[in-house]
Amino acid sequence: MATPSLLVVTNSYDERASTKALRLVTDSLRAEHGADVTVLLLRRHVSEPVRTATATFLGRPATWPGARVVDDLRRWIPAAVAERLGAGGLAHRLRGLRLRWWIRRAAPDAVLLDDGLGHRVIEHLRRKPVLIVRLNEEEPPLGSLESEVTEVADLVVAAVGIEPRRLAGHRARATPVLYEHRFRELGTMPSLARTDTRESTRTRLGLPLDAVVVSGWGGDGWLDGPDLFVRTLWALHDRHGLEAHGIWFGSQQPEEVRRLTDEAQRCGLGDRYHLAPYEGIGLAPGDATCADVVVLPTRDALLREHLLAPIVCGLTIVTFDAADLDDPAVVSAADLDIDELASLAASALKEDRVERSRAALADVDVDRWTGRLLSAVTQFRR
Amino acid sequence: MTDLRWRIVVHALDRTGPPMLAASLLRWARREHPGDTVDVVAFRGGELIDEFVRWAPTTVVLDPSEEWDARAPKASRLRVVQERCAVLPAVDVTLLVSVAASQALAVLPVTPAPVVTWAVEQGDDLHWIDDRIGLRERTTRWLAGSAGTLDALRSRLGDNAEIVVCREFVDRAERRSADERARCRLALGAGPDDLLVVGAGIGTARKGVDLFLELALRTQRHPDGRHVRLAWLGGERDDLYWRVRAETERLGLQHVRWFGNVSDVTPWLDAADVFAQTARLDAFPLVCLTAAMLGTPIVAFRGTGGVEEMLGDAFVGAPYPDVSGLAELVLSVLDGPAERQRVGAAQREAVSDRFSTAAAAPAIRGELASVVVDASGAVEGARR
Repeated sequence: MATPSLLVVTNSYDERASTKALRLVTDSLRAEHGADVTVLLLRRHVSEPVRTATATFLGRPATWPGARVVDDLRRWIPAAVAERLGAGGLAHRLRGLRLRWWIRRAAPDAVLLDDGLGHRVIEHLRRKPVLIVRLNEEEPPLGSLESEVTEVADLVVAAVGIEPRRLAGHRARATPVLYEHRFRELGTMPSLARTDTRESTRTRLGLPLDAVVVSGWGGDGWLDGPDLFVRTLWALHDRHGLEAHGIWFGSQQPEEVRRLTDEAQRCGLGDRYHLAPYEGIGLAPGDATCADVVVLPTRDALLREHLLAPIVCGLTIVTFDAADLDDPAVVSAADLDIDELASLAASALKEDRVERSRAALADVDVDRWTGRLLSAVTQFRR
Repeated sequence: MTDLRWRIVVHALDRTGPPMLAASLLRWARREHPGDTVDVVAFRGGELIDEFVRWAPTTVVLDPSEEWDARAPKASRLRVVQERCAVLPAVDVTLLVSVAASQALAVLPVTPAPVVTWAVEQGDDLHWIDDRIGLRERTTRWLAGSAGTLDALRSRLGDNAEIVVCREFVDRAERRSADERARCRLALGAGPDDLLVVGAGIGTARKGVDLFLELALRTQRHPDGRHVRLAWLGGERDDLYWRVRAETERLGLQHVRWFGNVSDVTPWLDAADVFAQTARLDAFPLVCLTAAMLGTPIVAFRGTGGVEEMLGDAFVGAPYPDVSGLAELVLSVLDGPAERQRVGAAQREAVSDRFSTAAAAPAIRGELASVVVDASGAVEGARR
């Protein structure tokens, strides 16, 4: 059977992680699986007069080749006509016409509607393609309206970590759910999982090659719990006999460095405690591979996308319940329970890191994931 | 003994250790040495000002919350505060109570009178010694408030430095009536059948206000089924206090109270079943001395300052940072009135004859007198 064609409809090419992930999905569908993919953006996010959708990521402009911006019609209405008919109403009608035309011309086997767009698009679907509804972590403003429209969805793509409440209706109707991880351009990440990069990383960071290494990070001296990290190292030694080295990627402010170094001295860690600069968004991929386990004693919720590098390296992330993360790579202790945190870290150290890395990669590798999406679509076409 | 003219210098008049210590010393001196002339210079003010002026002429150098860089004070402002101090009477000797008091040296008139520095801090709080504000040069004699401070001073001043240990002290605390204790317990949220654990101090990491919360998580209920209530006194001026308080709310803990400042800790300590000292570092905590004098059992971390030195064999504690171990000890001391009484009595015996003002303050005045004699001897020798 031929590879199914897909129409992806999203709101705009904005800077949200969910949009970026969708972009990676469409790229992968085309490049890796040769799928015919049409992308329609309902509105332009930035206003350059170009036909290709652009957005800025990490300060650099990025394009979404082949994506069409439906709302470009608004600027084509002559001023005199707009004044007479009302620009908003006319644009709405023109947008509907254009949307319907493009959808019919694409004649897709499946339509993937990004979160919150069902009520604006579904009326234009004449032929009945496989309907995929995508639910992101952030609920859109018209999310409640959406739940009625998407009752007919054949498949739900749900972000990992989504509120269970939002899936309840689909669950009740037994709609299949395909979980979506926050894909990033993996770049060098898969190679990080190889153990041979660990040696060079440890040498660069001044860590011993033959010791157990625990890593953690965070720029906030309270919420990220750098002092709790120090005491977890103490507990690993005191309760589990592990002479683990710890490296904390954090603030380099002299006062903070002195505070944490003093704490490490009080805990008898000696030269087993190391501090390194923190870049600000999770752990830099190049640093992740130094550790055997990650300990994040946070007092606040964590963003899953910040954990991708260590997950790809096959590391278990040990944290507190406050992190509020539901992920196979994450294990949580009761808030502020250092003993339990150390116990979980000690257990994680006994697991097979290479095997965990392989499993983690399967989750975050966008090409494997789009393969699963296409086979789900193919099943419905039968 | 000859009457002395001496000056006590403190960093502030708030309810922290050094000003409380200075107040005890001042009261004792006025009672026991009425012929002495004593005045007080406080670098900053605070709520103890009324107490100080009751006993001695007191000069407060800076205005409330005034910004001041001790290493490079603003010239125009320096002149103003120097003039404020220029009218101070001549003295035979100046006593700095804590090295933090050395911030005042730059504004005090330079005289040949010796300076005695009584260090009562440990750790980073001793940084004034190295801060080039003249403390090393102007100190004639160093006193240390505890053995731990002695070691810390040696590491900064060198092994050959002459330092005399004069331990800190508090006034002998009188037990309060059963009614007053019951009212304090009620105010802290503890009913007659509850067990009450009290902590106290400014709201900083050094004082372990965050560790008190962790202790609270592990001591919600005694194994015998009774509720444990915890309350922290003081600290509301510090950021960490409010963060810990917010954390308490997030965790939904209702058995711990962040009570803020009280004007006198004595009745509150007397009302407690256990005093939990969760400090990471505390040279010779006066609040523990007060609790011990009252017979309120103290549980603390080992290796975090002077509590072990203070209580000797009567010390009850877990190694730092074993909060679970500390919680177990708290619960075991709470086992029954007999155990609490046993621990409390042993700790009271360990401190009351050694660290009461009456017992320990004479050593300080003795050092001052001796420094004056030495200094005048040196002047005589120079004349010859």
